[in-house]
Amino acid sequence: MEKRVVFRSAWLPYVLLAPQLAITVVFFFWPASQAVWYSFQLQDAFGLASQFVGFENFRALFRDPHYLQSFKTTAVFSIAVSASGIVVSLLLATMADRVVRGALVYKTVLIWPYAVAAAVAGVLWAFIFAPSIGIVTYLLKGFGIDWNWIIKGDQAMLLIIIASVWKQISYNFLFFLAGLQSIPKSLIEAAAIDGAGPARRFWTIVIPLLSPTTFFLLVVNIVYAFFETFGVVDATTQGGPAQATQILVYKVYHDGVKSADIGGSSAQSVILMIIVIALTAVQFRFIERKVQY
Amino acid sequence: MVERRPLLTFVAHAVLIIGAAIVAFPIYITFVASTHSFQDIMQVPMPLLPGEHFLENYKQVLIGGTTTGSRAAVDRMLLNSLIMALVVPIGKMSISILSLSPSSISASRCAISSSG
Repeated sequence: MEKRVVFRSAWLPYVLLAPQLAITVVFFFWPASQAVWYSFQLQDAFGLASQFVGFENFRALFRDPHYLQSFKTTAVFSIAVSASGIVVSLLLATMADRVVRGALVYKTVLIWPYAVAAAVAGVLWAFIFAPSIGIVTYLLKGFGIDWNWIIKGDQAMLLIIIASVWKQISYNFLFFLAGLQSIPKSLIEAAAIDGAGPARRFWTIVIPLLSPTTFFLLVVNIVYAFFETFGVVDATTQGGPAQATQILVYKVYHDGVKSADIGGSSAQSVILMIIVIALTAVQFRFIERKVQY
Repeated sequence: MVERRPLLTFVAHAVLIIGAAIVAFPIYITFVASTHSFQDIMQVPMPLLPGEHFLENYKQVLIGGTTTGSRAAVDRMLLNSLIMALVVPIGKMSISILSLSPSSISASRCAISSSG
């Protein structure tokens, strides 16, 4: 029988819970419900009056080719960021798990970008990829590539993908390294005695045992690419050129803050909220049940 | 490592060195750029080794602020960041600790009441 502490007073637990609840209500439920409310409203041009329009904002959004394009841009961006981030960090983590000499130096350097803010990461990469003066631009010119992300949409996209992946590699690397180190050595050794080489052990033992980690990182990386890359985009391309890098979260900001379309921007953020709730639900559902392997 | 494979160890080091070099490259370039004068950086290609304007540049931004752009001094920003970085985690943790104790206790109370 475990020992249990019971408060005699009926109200003390609620008093202790109150600060957390108050913060959740004030900083999440209140703004979220405001966004839902505004998404059903249509403001006049000066923001003085608004009228209830039901689902008109949502209907307008899904008729807007720019919004549908932004969905595609976000899909391309988040798939590229998650896939390349996971593959690169899995490669580096597998190698770092293998080496003994200098392991600390490699780990330290690979964890560096985690300490860099998203906006600063954007500025760093924009600086070395800067048209005409950037050091990488200069190298690319040697290969005959004309690099100018300010006027070329696909290059701008590549720039924000590189900057976002660079920043996320550290996080993925740490989780993969922890996952690799928690694989029982006996399994690897038994397979080695049976004659399985490193490649075969990697595909038949390491990859399946890492699948829960990989699945967790996949969800975290998609959420990261959707929402936390705002700083990278704002510090470099600002959605341009010609909306080539206008991901959904940047469009919410652009339409709401710069174009003062509160209703349309709120409708977009409600859609984003639904997406993140769905992603979280998927994650909880599968993390509870464990990934099948 | 379960067996000796010198070639694989070599490949592992090569991959890690290349990876670490790419990861560290933007930070290194930015540090190098911070030790040069504006004219030096505007050259194509920019210098790849640290220059001699280190003290001058850092003194300028820390105390005087940047000469272009916002002109805000960085020492004040460092202080602001320090305050944020201290207050936010301390506040978060104290609120979470408060809410953790009663919720676990009320959860056990529920367990007791439901089990009879």
